[in-house]
Amino acid sequence: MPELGQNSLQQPPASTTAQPSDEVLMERLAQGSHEAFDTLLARYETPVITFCYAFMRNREGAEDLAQETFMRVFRNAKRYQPVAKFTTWLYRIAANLCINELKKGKLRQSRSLDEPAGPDPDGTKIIERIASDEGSPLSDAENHEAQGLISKAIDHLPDDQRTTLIMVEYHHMQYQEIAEILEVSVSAIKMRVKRARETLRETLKILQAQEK
Amino acid sequence: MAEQATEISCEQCRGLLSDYIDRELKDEEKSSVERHLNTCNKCGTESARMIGLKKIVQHWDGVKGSGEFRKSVMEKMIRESQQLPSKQFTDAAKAETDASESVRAKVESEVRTLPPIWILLAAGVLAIAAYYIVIWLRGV
Repeated sequence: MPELGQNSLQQPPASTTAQPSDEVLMERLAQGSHEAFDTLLARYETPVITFCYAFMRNREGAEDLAQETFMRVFRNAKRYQPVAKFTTWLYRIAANLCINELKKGKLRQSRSLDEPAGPDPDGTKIIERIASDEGSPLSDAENHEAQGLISKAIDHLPDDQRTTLIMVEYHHMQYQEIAEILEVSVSAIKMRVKRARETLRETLKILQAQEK
Repeated sequence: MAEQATEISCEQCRGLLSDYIDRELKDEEKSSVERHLNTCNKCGTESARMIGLKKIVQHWDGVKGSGEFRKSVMEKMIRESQQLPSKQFTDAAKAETDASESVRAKVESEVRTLPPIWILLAAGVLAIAAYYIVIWLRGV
């Protein structure tokens, strides 16, 4: 029976001791270090854009909101108190911006499974290879195809399921941290993740059927 | 110390699987799930499927910014940080000017509320004249 071993799932990369912590960088930023800001930017550029994309499903809108998130980090650096994890504070800022933007009713795009998934009819086989860890490593082209399919399946999730699942699987957050960022209960997060996985599985099945 | 695993049903196991693969279960629940998975082929297959699904989502690269994103944010930050001290200075100067304006306006307003000097003088002269008229009338 499959058992949840230490190495059975991808874990977030361990930070090396040579790298200053986020909190140290924030302290330096508060003292006016532009370099500290650049390091934070390099560290969190893609995670924050992806986080915003989880809400907005729009690349341009996600980039705009990610930019505003970083500017707020800069503007509030002197007021930042490391009582909570830096990432919780960072993603809380991003979540507030995204939620406010969604309330304005802008940038929303509905996605349909009828949209073409991509030119490669073997895309779902690639997905199966990722799931089973079998076969040769993916080529660049196969990986590109897989990214398109996974994006499409994720995009199709309902809003609350998509944001929560991305925070769990992409940002490697614990349920408690997600609950704090989204200001909901841990049990609500558990339910969303569970439902997101069920929806995602069904979506991948539909995509698979469309490919055949 | 090994946690005591309670026997759970397939339904209970399925209900805990998502939390299990996210390592969000308490030790006792985790032991119960693992014990069940070791004896139930169906739940074992379901667990493997869910782990596969997790791998698929974790394989996702996320959304990368345009090549200009970092540069653009840095430029914006530098622009703002350069404006900040002068803005603070401008704000302080503005606050000072506002305060001076406010005091001057208050003094001017108070001065404006006073009657002109000639009216005061005339009133004084009239008051003295009235005083002497009263004394003269009493004397008569």
